[in-house]
Amino acid sequence: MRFEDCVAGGELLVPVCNKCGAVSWPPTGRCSSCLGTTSPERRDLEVTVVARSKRDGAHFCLARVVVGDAGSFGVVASSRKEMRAGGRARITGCGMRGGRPYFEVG
Amino acid sequence: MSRVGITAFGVAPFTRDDARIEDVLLDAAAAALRSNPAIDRGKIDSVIVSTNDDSKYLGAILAETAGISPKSAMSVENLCSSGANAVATAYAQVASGLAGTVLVAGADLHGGPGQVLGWDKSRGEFAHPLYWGSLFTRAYRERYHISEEEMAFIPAKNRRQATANPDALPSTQCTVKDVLDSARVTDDLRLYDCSRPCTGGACVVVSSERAALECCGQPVWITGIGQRTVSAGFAKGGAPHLLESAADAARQAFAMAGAGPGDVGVAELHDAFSVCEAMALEAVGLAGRGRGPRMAQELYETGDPRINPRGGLIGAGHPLGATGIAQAAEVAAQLRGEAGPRQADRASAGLVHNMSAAATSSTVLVMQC
Repeated sequence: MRFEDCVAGGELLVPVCNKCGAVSWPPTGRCSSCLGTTSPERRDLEVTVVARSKRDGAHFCLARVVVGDAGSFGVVASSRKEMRAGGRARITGCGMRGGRPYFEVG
Repeated sequence: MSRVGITAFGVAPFTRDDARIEDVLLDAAAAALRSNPAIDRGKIDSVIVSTNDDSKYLGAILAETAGISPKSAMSVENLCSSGANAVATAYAQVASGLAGTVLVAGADLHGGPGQVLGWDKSRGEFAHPLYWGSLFTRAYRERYHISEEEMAFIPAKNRRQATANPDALPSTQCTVKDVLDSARVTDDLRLYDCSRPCTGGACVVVSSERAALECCGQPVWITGIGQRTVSAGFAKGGAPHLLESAADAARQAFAMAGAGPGDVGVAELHDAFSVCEAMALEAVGLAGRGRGPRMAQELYETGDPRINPRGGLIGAGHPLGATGIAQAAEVAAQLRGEAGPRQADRASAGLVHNMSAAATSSTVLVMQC
């Protein structure tokens, strides 16, 4: 299943390598570590806020997503309230808007 | 290894005008060739075009329209740092012996492609550069306890310096108050903190030592090149208050040149946003960590134009594919003492820093006269 299709369904499935188990991000069909193929997996996604800002009253942040032992990756996500740099949160939503994915943390 | 030098340079004025990319490239090439009539177009072995424009075969088109029949003609695209990468490619062609003289021209159009990297899904719905600029600004200011007013000296300086650059987008004398009064783009960016997309072109001619000494009384030697690509995706980068790619590229360039930051008397830095100049000053070693805004303030207050003398991307404008080449042309003019009203104190070495996509990659050039 394509990454965009998963996200459109409201679920952030993480491409994980079938061979070495590393997360591949931005999402691709091959692992950047061992070049094995990847499959989308459902994982517990805890995030740490790295930086944040606000535009027109809407908060957004750069968040680092830790995928257990598989590694980590970053996303730029919206949040309903102001996040603290270094604060912990979770991916609370995702989808497609205007042909691009969006992510929400909280 | 024999030296490689810049023997001619020129700029097609930065404007908001509609234009054809082919015409802007040709205007830039004509400006460069006019700057040194001793260059024999029949001896130009290679033409390199730097652009994000979607048009095809622009190297060959520029060669034909400029009356050049080179061995090789090609385009280089690397988002905002296409220009410095094109200069580095020209250097490689000359240093390897594949070419004796290379014409490098860059151009992009106002409203052209290259602002947004569609591939990078990690940016989510925040794909426009102003979002990473805003995140960097907040992170940097919090890290080093920099006020909005202290940061505002950077765009005030660069917009003021652009008034002495006849090829820049129109600018007026700018104060810190003007910056702070400009429209809020995000909670962390004002309009005057942002570089200005525009139409424009720039061109340099890169020559072997032998060709340079034949056609140019005062070549500007490219003595150091450093390049670093950390990633393509923004969210894979390091700490948002540091320019890791610029620091590594500068280390390489200085090592190649046998020089250091203390030798640099003039620099063109990639100020996509105000914070980028502060971070670049620190990454290349011209200012200590967290001291970039203070250095900019001192330069503003003393009227010293040695950092971004042509106005940078904020003051002069940012036609993506032309920017790195315009930076190199400016440093060449400065080192030769030909920068007119924006001339900094004569220096023996200058530096160009050109980067792409939230500093996921950088190229640094060290140039000496």
